[in-house]
Amino acid sequence: MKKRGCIIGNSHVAALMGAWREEPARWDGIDLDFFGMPGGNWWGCTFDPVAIRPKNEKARDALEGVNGVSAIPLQGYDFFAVIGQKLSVQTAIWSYRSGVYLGLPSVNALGDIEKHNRPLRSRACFEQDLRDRLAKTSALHLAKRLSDVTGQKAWVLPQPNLDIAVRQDTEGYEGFRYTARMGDGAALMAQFEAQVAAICADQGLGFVPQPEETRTGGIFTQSEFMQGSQRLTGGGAAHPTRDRLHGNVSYGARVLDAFSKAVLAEAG
Amino acid sequence: MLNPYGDLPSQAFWRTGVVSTDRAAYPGLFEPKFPIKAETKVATAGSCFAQHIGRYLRQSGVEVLDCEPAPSGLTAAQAKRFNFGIYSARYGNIYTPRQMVELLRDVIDLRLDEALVWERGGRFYDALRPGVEPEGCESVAEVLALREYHLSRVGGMLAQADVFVFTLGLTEAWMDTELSRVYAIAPGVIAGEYAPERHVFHNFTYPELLADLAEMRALLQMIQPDIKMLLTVSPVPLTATGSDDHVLVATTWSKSTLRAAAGAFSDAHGDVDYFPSYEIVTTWAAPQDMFEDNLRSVRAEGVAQVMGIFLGAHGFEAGDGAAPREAAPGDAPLEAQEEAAQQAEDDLICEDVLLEAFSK
Repeated sequence: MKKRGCIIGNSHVAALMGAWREEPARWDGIDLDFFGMPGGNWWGCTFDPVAIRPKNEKARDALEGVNGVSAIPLQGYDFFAVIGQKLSVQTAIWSYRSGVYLGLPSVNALGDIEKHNRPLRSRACFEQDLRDRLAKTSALHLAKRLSDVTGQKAWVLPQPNLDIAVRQDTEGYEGFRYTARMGDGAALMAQFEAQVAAICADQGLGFVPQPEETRTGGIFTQSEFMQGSQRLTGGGAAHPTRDRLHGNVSYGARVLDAFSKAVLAEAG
Repeated sequence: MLNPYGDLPSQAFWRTGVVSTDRAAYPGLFEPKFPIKAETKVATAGSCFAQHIGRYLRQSGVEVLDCEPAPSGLTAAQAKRFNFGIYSARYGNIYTPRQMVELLRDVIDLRLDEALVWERGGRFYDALRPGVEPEGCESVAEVLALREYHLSRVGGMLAQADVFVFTLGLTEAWMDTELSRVYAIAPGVIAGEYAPERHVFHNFTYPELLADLAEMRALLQMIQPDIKMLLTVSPVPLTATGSDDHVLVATTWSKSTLRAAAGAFSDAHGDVDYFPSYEIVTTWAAPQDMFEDNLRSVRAEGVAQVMGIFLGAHGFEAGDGAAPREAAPGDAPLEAQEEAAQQAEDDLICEDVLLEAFSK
């Protein structure tokens, strides 16, 4: 019997919805429903064992406008997942901006600190800073709420790393380019995933990292998994070609591959 | 008949200076030698009571320096756990003038010593400030890199300080005879290993304290020639004594000696002031209970009174950002009183409280 799941999230849910629409038979062990809204609207909803319901007009408009429903029923699902909702290696880059630690490839001696002009922290302090930041992300909050009200397992799925094409850009996302230039991308990615995994283990949540085959350059995504991505809103129109944030249907399919494997492994 | 007491001000007499005066404000108790204004750059260090001074000064708008601010993502609780924002740098508590002198020597020479790294359970700690990394470090190299960074930041911070506030906490210390260093806390309490033949108890005497204060002043002036010192003595009793005396006797000995040295040193130098927080808290004439039920932690109301007098003397509005917490009624439920005592203890970072765990 198929396991039935519900995936909610922000604009990043669109890649998964697109993949599911194209070839649902690819994931024959699971059956999925998707609900997406511009991320902040989830805070405008109440969660109870029966449904997620908007509690203000803005959230109501967003829920109905994008999904065509006035509430999201929560009964009958075996598992839940939250995708995106600020769960991103960007958080590790914010911690990195706040301080670096010995052990990062770019920091092997005190003299290296001057290259950064950033405070030196202990690795333990950096990791605590990152955990504290991650604990505030809505992805983890929403997943915990879903898990608490339904008693079912909830998973978090990160938004994809930026398109590697961002390295050629001259505006925006300088933190990613800086991290890559300093050679610290892979280390920060590992930190991000380790700390998310630790928080999830602590809270009884599941975590499925970005599929390995979609990654490149430590903290980026291969362009082939990003170009041609579709909007959640606006009838599924394509994002502008300079969009670096969103995965495409091919990316969504790889995420669903990894996710279904994790869910089915959990179910035994 | 002419006598030397005839023209003295009211504060010179016990009856008018204490018994019948406003004992919440003690008019005339403290007249600063030099001003502290909003634009004064203040550095703080010392025993745990000094944390109050830094906090109240900051709340009153004084520029209290912080050369190692907390990473912006840390919660307030975690920042405190990692000793951020406690003093002007993450040096932890500096209980004795000798500790401060040794830190200043390290700052000037950028001196690092691998032998001053303690280990516990596979983690590594800076023996000179073992409490600042609650989880320890990954390696000796990480401890040394962090110490080097710390020393460079402390030097830069002191170079721009106008006033250095130092609270003398203890005369008792543990010395490493091999390394000729004084520790903030005995080896074996947080990390490291106590070796009786090497780690010896020392109770600093009045002459030693005076000599250390003189060296502290000289070293500070090497870094910042115009720096002024403001001394206070912590009214917090010893958690435990390493002497053979009863802890009450040891506390009185220690505090009396610190008080005498601070006063004598201040009297001898125009650029060194002494603020009598110790007297305000410990006098039997105190208008309110100054200590929590553990008879060690100073109640929030007591701290507010002390700092109100200090800030008032420096021209800051009473309650200007440093309003005392509303006094807890005397008949508050026992749990609330215990919670208040715990909170007072929790508000400060005092490694020496860890010694309580060894009480039989």
